[in-house]
Amino acid sequence: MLKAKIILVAMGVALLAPQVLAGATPEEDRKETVEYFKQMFPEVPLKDFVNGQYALNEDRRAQWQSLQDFPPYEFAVAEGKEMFEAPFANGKTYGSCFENGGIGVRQNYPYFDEGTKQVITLELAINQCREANGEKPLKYKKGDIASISAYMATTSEGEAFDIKVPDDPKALAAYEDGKQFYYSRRGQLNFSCASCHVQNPGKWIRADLLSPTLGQPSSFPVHRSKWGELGTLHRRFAGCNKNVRAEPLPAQSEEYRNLEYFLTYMSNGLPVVGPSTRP
Amino acid sequence: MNKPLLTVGLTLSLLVPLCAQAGAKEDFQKIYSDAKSAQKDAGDFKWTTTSSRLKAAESAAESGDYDKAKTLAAEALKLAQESVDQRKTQAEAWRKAVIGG
Repeated sequence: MLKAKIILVAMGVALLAPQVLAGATPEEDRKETVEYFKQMFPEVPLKDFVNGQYALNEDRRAQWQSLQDFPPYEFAVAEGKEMFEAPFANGKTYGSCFENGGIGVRQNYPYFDEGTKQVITLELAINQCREANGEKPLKYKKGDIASISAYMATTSEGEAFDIKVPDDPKALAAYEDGKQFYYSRRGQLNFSCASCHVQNPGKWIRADLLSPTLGQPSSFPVHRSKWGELGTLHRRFAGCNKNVRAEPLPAQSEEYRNLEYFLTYMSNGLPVVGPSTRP
Repeated sequence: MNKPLLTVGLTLSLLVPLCAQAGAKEDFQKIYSDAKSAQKDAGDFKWTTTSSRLKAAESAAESGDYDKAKTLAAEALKLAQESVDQRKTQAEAWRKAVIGG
């Protein structure tokens, strides 16, 4: 009888252990995600995942590479640099708000601010900088903010993302909220981000080739042919939500910032390659 | 000719459609209010299709077409209730889709 009880307890522990261990920490989530996509696309070198759909399809990759000879975002990046360096009315510049004068810092965004207990994205930090210096905030989805963010990304080209989830329950909660958002089905079409980018990358959805989760934020801001201009990651989030008939949330809402936090953490170790182009 | 009878008949014939419209307006207002409440309850799981039905219902009501407004509000209510169900289901179901979960 005792033997039977021991066996039952052991079986229970054996069944429960993987569930408890699976994704128990952000780092375990990331490692499992990397392993998942390595197994799904064994022929794709890890660093190539930052190229999204272009890492998965030869034809698309060839078209994209030819487009990169004269990238359509070049002028926007040049304008972003000018704006970044231009003094505010008080004489200070964006550089005064960022570590290392804002050069080569893209890979550290978003981060969890332990003072305000919230996730700070690069675009939010740009606007916080403006407001701290007496300037009006910019709109978050496109235009000047995308150009400034794109310029800042170019100064981090090739740097590996290094997103941290500090030992703070609120930081972990923000990360978990982002994870929950990514995996929750929404909209009348009942799709989650993961429905496309975890379960079906490399497949076509109408004329779009679905990209994998891994490396998704690396190339932002992106110039989409559909937009005909640069747009931020939150603009893309809103577009994806609309595609599945879910009401999009405001750019830089807490939900989208937490989503970016989770998503970028998954790409830790992968290089910054933004801005880039997408269909 | 029976003049009083004619007057009563005419008055009634004018009042009946007005009463019917008043009923449709009240029905619309109740359904619309329920739909708005359900939409709010959907939190960040709101559907664009609910929002568009609600707007169309408002627009029909503004133009005085309460029958159409009521139909659109009822559609909005159904969609909003489905989105609330989705929110409730996904509160736990998302875990099943997680890599390694």
